[in-house]
Amino acid sequence: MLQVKNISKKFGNKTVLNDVCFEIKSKSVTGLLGPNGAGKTTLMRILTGYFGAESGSVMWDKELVNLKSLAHKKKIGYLPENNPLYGYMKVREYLEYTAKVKDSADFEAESYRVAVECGLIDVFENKIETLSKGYKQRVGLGAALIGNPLLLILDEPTTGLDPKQIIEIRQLIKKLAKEKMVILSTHILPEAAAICSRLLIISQGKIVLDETTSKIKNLEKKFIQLTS
Amino acid sequence: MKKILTIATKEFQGYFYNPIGYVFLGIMMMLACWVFWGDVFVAGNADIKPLLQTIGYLYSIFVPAITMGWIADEKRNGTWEVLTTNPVNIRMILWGKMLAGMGFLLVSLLLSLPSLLSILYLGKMDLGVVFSGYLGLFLLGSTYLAIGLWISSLTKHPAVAFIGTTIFLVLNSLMSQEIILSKIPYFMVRVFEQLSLGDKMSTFYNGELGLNAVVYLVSVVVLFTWLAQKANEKTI
Repeated sequence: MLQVKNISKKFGNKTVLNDVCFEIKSKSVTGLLGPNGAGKTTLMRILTGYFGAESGSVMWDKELVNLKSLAHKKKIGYLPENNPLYGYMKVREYLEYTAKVKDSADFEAESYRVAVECGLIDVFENKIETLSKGYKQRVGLGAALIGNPLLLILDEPTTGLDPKQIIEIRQLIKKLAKEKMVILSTHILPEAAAICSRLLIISQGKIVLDETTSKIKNLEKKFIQLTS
Repeated sequence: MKKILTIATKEFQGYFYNPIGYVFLGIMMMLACWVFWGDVFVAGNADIKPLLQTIGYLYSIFVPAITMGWIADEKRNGTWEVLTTNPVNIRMILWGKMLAGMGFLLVSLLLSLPSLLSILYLGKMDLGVVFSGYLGLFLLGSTYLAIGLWISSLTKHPAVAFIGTTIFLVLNSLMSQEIILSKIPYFMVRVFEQLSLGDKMSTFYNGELGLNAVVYLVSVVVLFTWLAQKANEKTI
C-alpha cells in the first residue's frame, strides 16, 4: 500500500502543491486529472524522488520512505511527459542499459522480457530515433517496467499519439495494472474514464476529488465544476 | 562501482555515435602528426615537448566540446529526469561520465603513439619524458573534463557550457603566461602560478614525475566533480 501524506511544494512564493493526501491500496490504475499547471507533474516528480517536497511524507506499507533513496527508486517505474530517450541507441541497448542501472541480475533476459511485454520484439535491433512515436512510447514504458517495479508512474502517456497508438497504449496500461499499481496523469477526460478505476482531480495544487470512476456520474461536468 | 562502469560504458560508446567524437580524434591525430613530424623533418629535432604542448592547448578547445552536453544536454532533452529517477545517485552518474571522458582522452593520446614509436624505431628518445609527458597530459585533460562537467551542470544550454568552459580554461592558461605575470604585482604572481593548471605541466614535460603536481591535478579533478555533484543535487 502506498500512502501519500500532506505533500506540499512551493516554487518561490507560489504554492504548487498544498497538503496533498491519498492512498493506493491495490493493483489498479489511478488517474491524476487536472488542468495544465494544476500540479500533476510536480506531484509525480516528488513521488519519483526527482523533486523534493517542502513537507509531507510517503509510506510504503506503513513504513516511511526516503524518496531520494535507491531502495524507493527501485520500487518505481517512471515514464515522464515527452518520453525522453537516447535516440542513437538501439531498443535492445537502451533496455539492457536500463536493466543494468536498475540492478537486474540478468540484464539480457530482463530486457527481452520487457520487449515481449511491450510488443517491441519487431524493433528490438532498431535505433530508437528511427521508430514511430507509438513505438518510442512503448520503449519508454518498457524502460519503466524494467526491474518489475511495484508502482508505475506515467505522465501523460498518450500525448501526441495517433488514435490507433492511443488504443494500443491504453490496452497495454490496462494489462499492466493487473500486476502493479499505476498512477497516470492526463487532462483528457474520456481517457481517464476509459483506463482508470479511480480518479483524483487536482486543482491549484489541491486534491478536490478522490473517487472511484464508476461512481462519478458526469465526469465532464464535475471536472469543470471542481476546477473552475 | 558496477553502475559507474555501466554509465561510463554507455557514455563512451555514445562518443562514437556522435560526429564530434570522430572530428575530435581526427583533428587531434592530424595536428599531432603535423607538429611532431614537422619538427623532426624541418628542424631535425625529435623533441616530444612541442607535441605535448600542442595537445595540451588543443584540449582547452576540444575538451569543452566533449563536456558541454554531459549534463546540459541531458537536462535539455529530459533524459536527466529519467536517469536520476532510476536507482542511481548523482555521484555515480558524474563519475561515470568522468570515466568515459578519461577513456576518450586515452584514445586521443594513443592515436599519437604511432609517431612516437616510429621515432623510437629510427632513433633515440627519452622514454621517461614520454611517459611523464603523457601522464601529465592525461591528468591535465582530466582536470579540464572535471571543470567542463561542473560548468555543464550550471546550465541547460550546451553552447553556454562550451563557451563558459573554454573561457575558463583559456583564462587559466593565461595565468601562467609571462606576458600576464610581468604586468601584475609580485604577490599575485605567486597566486596565479599556484592556480594555473598549465604551470604544473612543465615538470611533466621535463620528464619529472613531481608528486606535488600529480596530487594537485588529481585534487582539482575531485574538487570540480564534487562541485558538479553539489550543483546537480541543488537543482533537484
